[in-house]
Amino acid sequence: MDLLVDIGNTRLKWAWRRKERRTPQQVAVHGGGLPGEVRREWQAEGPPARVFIANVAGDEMAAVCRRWMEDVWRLAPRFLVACQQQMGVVNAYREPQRLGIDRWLALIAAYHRYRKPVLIVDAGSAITLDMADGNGFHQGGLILPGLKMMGDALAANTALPPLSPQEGDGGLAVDTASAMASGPLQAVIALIEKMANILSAENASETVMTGGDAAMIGDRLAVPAHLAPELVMDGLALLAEHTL
Amino acid sequence: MKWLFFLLVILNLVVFIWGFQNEPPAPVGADHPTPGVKRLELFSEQKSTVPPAEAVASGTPDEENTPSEANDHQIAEAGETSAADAEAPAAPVGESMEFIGMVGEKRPEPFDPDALPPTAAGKTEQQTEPTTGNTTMKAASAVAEVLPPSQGPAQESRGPDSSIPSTAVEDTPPPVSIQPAGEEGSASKGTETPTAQAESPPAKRCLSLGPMLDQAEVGALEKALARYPVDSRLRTEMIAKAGSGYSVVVPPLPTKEEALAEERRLREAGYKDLYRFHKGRMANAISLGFFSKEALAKKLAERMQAKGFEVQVRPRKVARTVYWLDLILSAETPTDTQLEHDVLADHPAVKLEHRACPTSAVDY
Repeated sequence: MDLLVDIGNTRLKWAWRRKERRTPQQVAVHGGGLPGEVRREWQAEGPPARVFIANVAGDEMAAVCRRWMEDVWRLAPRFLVACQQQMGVVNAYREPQRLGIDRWLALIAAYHRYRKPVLIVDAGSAITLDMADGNGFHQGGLILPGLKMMGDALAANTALPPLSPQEGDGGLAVDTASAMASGPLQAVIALIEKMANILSAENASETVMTGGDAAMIGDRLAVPAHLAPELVMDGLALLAEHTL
Repeated sequence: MKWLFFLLVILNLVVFIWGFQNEPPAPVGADHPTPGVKRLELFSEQKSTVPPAEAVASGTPDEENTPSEANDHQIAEAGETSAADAEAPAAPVGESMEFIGMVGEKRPEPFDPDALPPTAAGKTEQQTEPTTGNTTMKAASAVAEVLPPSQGPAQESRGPDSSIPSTAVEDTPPPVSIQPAGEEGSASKGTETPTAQAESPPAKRCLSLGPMLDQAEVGALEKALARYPVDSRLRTEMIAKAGSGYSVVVPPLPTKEEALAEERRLREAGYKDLYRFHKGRMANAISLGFFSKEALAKKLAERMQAKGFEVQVRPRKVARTVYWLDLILSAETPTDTQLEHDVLADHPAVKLEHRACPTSAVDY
């Protein structure tokens, strides 16, 4: 049995992989540490034979995971990093290992799922867009602040009130709070649609949405998109499957 | 004498008029003016306010603050009992005697996870849940919360599951296609899940317990903490501990280029056994070796200083990882005193440190 862990900037997601199948991912806000409920669940289910971790939350998060697993399971987790080429996908970064591991795993999962040109949008604390052609060649990507981060930046640097996530539905707004919410949302929507149109201009392609804000953004897109909240976890499972 | 009598009458009149003007208009039996303090009720009044059937339905004495169905509902919605207290009819006589004496406070209750604010009891299934900190949830249910009704069925196969059987092996959920926005524009407004945004969140306080050397100590501490509704997060901290021996080092240089140049100069001078630090506190410093005796380290340092190298002798430090438990708990209980008595008494080396609560969990 393997434990698959995807640690984002805000949330920790995990799933168990048994006999080439895995459980749906579970999610907890990590707050820079290992939440009690996560440790309890891991202890109840574990110990796994192997642990694969995709971590973009920094060294401290990696340290607490490593130390806890060594203490409790006498097991060293494997921290994954992106590389130049893996499982049919070719990394476009000049320094391949600098590509976020979550983006790399999402690319691998999307390539194996669609075998078509893909635009992958991971909308979480930050938003990343990555494009790959149908042969698995990564074309590059974009990173921008997530919706909340944009709203927070607006509130922090102006006299505008703090953004409430409930405000606004993405259309033209007639009050300040809604306008502050709709602006970032419309900007992201416009960018995704632009990139999707570029990608689909020559070949049939797919747009895949993942991350905490995927559903909200995807619902407002004027281009067809797939909602795949567990895309990174799919990539982790694929990698675990092909790793001895 | 007559004048004195007259003067006394006038004085009495003045005092009477003054007292009459300042007398509070409240009639006997009005609500207690202090917020949060319950109105004193006669036993006969209490009997008349709670019909026998409701009194039974109100359950155990611990639920006496919430005897009515309306208040039960209020608690389920708000996840706290303070709202119910304000208008709670009195409980059956035998129990209310004690309650009335508590002047505005709830009777201390044993830990009941179902009555907690947003903790493991799972009260915060709405959008606010991830921000509360105690947030284990299925991704499927999270998606179901933000999807508009039109997309609900696509998630149904994953939505209702509230726990994964430990032996179950389930299929990975396939991606869900999202139709381009168009006529469904109005439906999409449904994604803006109305939450209790008007209510201020329950007051919280945050503190850290540590340092702890191993998981066994963490486990013992968490066991003692289990009686309280706390949200805990484990983190590690690297500390430098004095080790044995001394090192000779070129102190950290301002830039990597300068460190590289110094390394080259040292090698050219015949010092081949050296190590340049790449990151951390000692980034761009160069180590020239460890010595068990300080005198030997000083001897090398003096020799190098004579050749124009700026080096120092430093006591060797070893890095050690310690655990800290970051806790988010309600503003009232457990108090620091309770924690020190119930949790930390057996762990004298563990300190309690207050810290600022995170303003937001970022996620929603």
